[in-house]
This record gives sequence, C-alpha cells and structure tokens, in this order.
Amino acid sequence: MENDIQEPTLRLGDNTVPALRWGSTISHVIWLAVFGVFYATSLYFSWWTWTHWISFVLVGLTLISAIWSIGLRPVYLHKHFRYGFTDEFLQLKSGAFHENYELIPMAKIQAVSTNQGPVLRRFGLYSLEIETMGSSHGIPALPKEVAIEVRNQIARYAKIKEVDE
Amino acid sequence: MMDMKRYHPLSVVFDLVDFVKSFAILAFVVVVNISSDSWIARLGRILLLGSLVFSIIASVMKWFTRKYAADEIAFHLKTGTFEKTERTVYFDKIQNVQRHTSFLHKLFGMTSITFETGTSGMNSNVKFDVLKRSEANRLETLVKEFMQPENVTTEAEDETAPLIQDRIVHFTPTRKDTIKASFTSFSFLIILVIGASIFSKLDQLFNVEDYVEGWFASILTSGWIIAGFTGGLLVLAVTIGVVWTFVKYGNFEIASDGERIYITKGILDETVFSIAKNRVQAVEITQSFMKRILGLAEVKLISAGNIGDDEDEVSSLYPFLPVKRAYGMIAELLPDYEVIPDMKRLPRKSLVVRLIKPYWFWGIATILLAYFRPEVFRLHTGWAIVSIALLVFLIVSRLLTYWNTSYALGGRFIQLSQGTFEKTTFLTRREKIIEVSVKRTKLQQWFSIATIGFINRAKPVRHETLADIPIQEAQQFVEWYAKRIRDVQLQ
Repeated sequence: MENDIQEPTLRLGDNTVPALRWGSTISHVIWLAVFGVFYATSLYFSWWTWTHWISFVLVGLTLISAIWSIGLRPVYLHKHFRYGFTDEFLQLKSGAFHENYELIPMAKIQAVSTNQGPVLRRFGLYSLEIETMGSSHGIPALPKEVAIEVRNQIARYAKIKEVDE
Repeated sequence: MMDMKRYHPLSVVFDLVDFVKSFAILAFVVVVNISSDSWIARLGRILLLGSLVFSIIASVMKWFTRKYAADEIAFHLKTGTFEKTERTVYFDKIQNVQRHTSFLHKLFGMTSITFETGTSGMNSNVKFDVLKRSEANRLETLVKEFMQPENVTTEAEDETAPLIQDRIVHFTPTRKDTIKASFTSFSFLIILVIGASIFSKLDQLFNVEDYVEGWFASILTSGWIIAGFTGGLLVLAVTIGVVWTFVKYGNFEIASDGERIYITKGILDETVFSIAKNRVQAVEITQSFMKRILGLAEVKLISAGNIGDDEDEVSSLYPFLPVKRAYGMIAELLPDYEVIPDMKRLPRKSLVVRLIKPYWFWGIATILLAYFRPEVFRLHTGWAIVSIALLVFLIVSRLLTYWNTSYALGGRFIQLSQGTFEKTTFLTRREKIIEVSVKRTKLQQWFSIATIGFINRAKPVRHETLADIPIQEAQQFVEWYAKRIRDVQLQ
C-alpha cells in the first residue's frame, strides 16, 4: 500500500450524505407503513396477540436500523470511502471499524455500469458497479460527470486482455 | 456452409437406456402387478407406455435436428426441434476435457466426451454423449493442436522446455496402495449403505422386517453363531470395500506430456480428465484427519471449467498419495509450480487476537442453556457443564487452527496452509489471482494485523483468506500482487 502503489485518494460526491439519508429514510418509511398496515389488519380481524407483538418488535427493529442507516452510516461511508485507479489497477477502500481494501487488475474487469435511482437522480449522482470474474464491487455515489468519466476510463483500461482467459 | 454432422445414431439407444434406468422401479412395480386390474395399476401402465413412446419420439427428433461440426478454431453446434439454436464455441475458451466411458459405452465401443469452458451459465460446456472413439480422438486432437505452443504464449522459462514430449506415466497405484486406500476411506462401511438400501427397498415390496426379526432372534441365542456371523460379516465388509475401491480407483493413472496432464481412473466406468498445464489455476492439497495420521494426501488441480460432481470429481490426483510423493508429483507435473517447503507461522499476537475474539456461538448457546436449563446427565448443573465443555472445545479448536496455519509468499507463488482437523494447502501463482483484498476489524487494527484475501478462477470461484497476518506482510502481499504485471502477457 506504500511505495509502488499509492493509497487511493478520490472521494465520493459531496452531497452523498443527504442522498443516502433520503434514500434510507424513504425505504424505512415504507417498511414502517407495511408493518403499520399489518398491525392494523391484525387489530381489525382480532388475530392472536402474538401478531401484535411481532409488529411491535418489527417496528422497534426498523427504528434501530433507522438510527444506524439514516443517522450514522451515510456520514461514515462518505468519510472513509476512497477509490483510485491507474491504467493497471482499480483500488477501493472503505470502512473504519471494518476496514476493507481491494486491489483489482483492470484486465480482470468484465463490466462497468452506472446506475441511478430516483433519489440519486434528485441529487445528480450516479452509482457505479464494477464486475470482475469473481465478484462485483460498487462505488455508491459520484457526481454525474465524474461517474461517466470514471466509467469510461475503466472501460478503456479494461479493454486490454491478458492471454489465457 | 460448413459440413455439419449428425450425432451418432446410438444416442437414441442411450437415451432409451437412461429412460429405463430412471423408471426402473416404477416399471418393476407395474410388471409385478401386471395381473392386477385395479385402476391405479392400469393408469400406471398407460402412463409408463405413454412416456416411453414420448421419450422415444423426442429422442429420435432430437437426433434428426442436432448437428455439429468442428474446424481448426471452434465447435459449431446446431440444436432445437422447434426453436433452432446455433452456437459457436472457440477452442481457446476450453479449460479442460473429460472423457467418460461407461460400461454401456464399452459394450458398443463408444465413449462420451465433454469440453468444459470457463464461462458461467447453462451452456458452459460442449458435450457429446455418444460417439465413436476415433471421432472423440479427432475432436480432442483438434483442440490440442489449437493449444500448441505457437498459439499459447506462457512465461519465458517455458520456452526452454522441450515443446512436445512423449507421454510420461507418473503414477499408478500398486495393490498395497489400493488396500491402504480402501481402509483410509472407510469404504468397508459401504456394506452398511448397500445393505440398508437393499433392505428398505425389499421391505417396501415384501415387508420382510417381521420375517427377519424372528430369524434374527433365533440366531442370537447362541454365542458361537453370533461370533461366526459377525466374523463372516466383517470379512464380507472388508472384501466389498476393497473391491469397491478397486473398481473406483483401479486402473488409476496420472500421466502428462509437454502440454497437458491426463488423469485416468475406473474399471467399469472409465474416466479420463485432461487439462493443459497452463490452464491449472491453482493446486490444492487436502489431508483429512485420518490421512494426516497415515501420512497421505489428496492433490487437486483447480480448473476454471467444471470438473464434475462431488461424487465423481475427476480433477483429483490419486486421493491417497503419500505426502512426499504428492509434493514430488506437483513438481513433476507442473514445472511452473513450486511447493515452498518451509512456510512461515503466524506471530504470537495473532494467537492472542484469535483467542480473545468474541465467542458468539458460545454466548448464544449459553444464554439458551441458562434459560431452558435442560437436565443433562441427570444433574441440575448439567447445562453449565455443557456450556463449559463447549467453550473448551471452541478454545481448543482455535488453538489447533492457529497451529495448523502457515503461509509463504515467494517468487510468483503464494501458499496457504490452514485447517482445524483437516488441513488444506492452497498454492497458486500471482497471475492466476484475479483480485486481492486486505481487511481489518477494529481489534485487528489495535494489534496491527490484517486479514488478506484473494480470488481465483474456478467453478465456483475460489475465495481464499488468511486471517491475522502482520500488517507489514499484508502490505507486502499487495505490493507482491501489484508486480503481477511483469508475469502476465497482454494480447
């Protein structure tokens, strides 16, 4: 990670945090609504009492998960995610508590794609998905121009193929 | 347009035999009840006849519509009765070749051959179920000729090796090896499996259980008869075990020429697996607990193409090789690979980390035990004993795993050796690794150690990890991997 290879330095887009917050807020609200409807039905048809308990537990779990994925995760993700690429390697680094560093040869990349859901579109962001023969990797949020530039760069470098595949 | 050939007409017969095999029991029941006039028996007969006629028609139509051809660079395949499909499979995608000759194939002088590619999905291979031996040879030679050195560029050091050598046989098991193998694999227990399955099948048909019970009770009255019976059973079990091993691994042969490795096995069902040496993605040496005691090992070649089911996995070199012979064989077969004999151990602090890592499983189990308080050994404190025993077991297995872990990073190779009771050594080359990772949990960050991981092509993809190596070595590992650029050739 020193000498020959530089640690990756590029960061996610600036408005990643609000985008991720909105995204998980929406999904949590949907889950809460689903559990609410479940609770209401169980009350209306007077199901067993344990069905009420299940809905309380589920709502409780959703609220706990909301604290994590709306309050904390977006900030941590944005703070610790780094990526970088040369003409030979793609590097990804993420996480503080579970630090994770990956080094992927460009020649082993099989597909790159940019994706944009409604929330990311609202913030002008794209997520990037990079597939190799063995697994797939993602860069969660990049501004539009950067995302397309990175995608094209990777695609260009990944065109080089090694013998024996 | 290329000259397309039909598959061999005998494939219809083989399809029929497959059909009979899979419906044998149903057919048997129907035949036994042939005189019965109940509506179920009649329905059964009609269904059986109907599906027989249908499968014959389908198989004949399949034969009429399936065609293939092979030129110097690819297979061209045409299939489909109603929906036509044309496929071209290039030879350079072929990872390994398997030839399977069942007893039935032998009767007709036929064989079957499968060319495995590394692609994922349904159509990952080109399979010829029934074809003449000469035709199989022709196809295999086409693929082999395509792979000749002028087409395949490997490392510089390979070019010094003689281009085409004669086939060398590296290993054939002696009778002693076979007997040793049959004991190591506990194959004498197979009599239990066979016996149980025959018994349950007979029981379904004739209800033999009551009959046997009475008979058994009368035998058990005399000590001599019991002893004789047990002795006879033991002899029978061992004989069947040895015969079983002989049928399965008899005629075993590991051979190679300049380009490829050939593994042949089986007496009634003969299988030949062949792989180009530079298509070997990694080598795996496995030693079960039993094999470690006896000093035996199994060596497996990892291929990016399919290598058959667990049952008849064919990429394994003889699974009961003496360890020294196993290492020697790797050197003989794969001059590109080196087994690194002196491997490094993990530092003491890794052991500390491994021991203080939370015991989640134990925690959950203990909470459950403390809540339900089951009476174990008729003791009130039984649950506590179980919990402590579990903890001791987990600590001992972590210790064992630590003792068994060693690694080496040398030249272009990486070698990992891990396991608790079973020990697995994984050996691969830098340019065969498709990506690497370094992971650190908070605990590992405090102790400045890390978990390294790498991925190899195989089916399914192999993820290898080595936990708790010093962070400096993890960094060296990444730098070592980054230097792969020197080894690989670009197209």
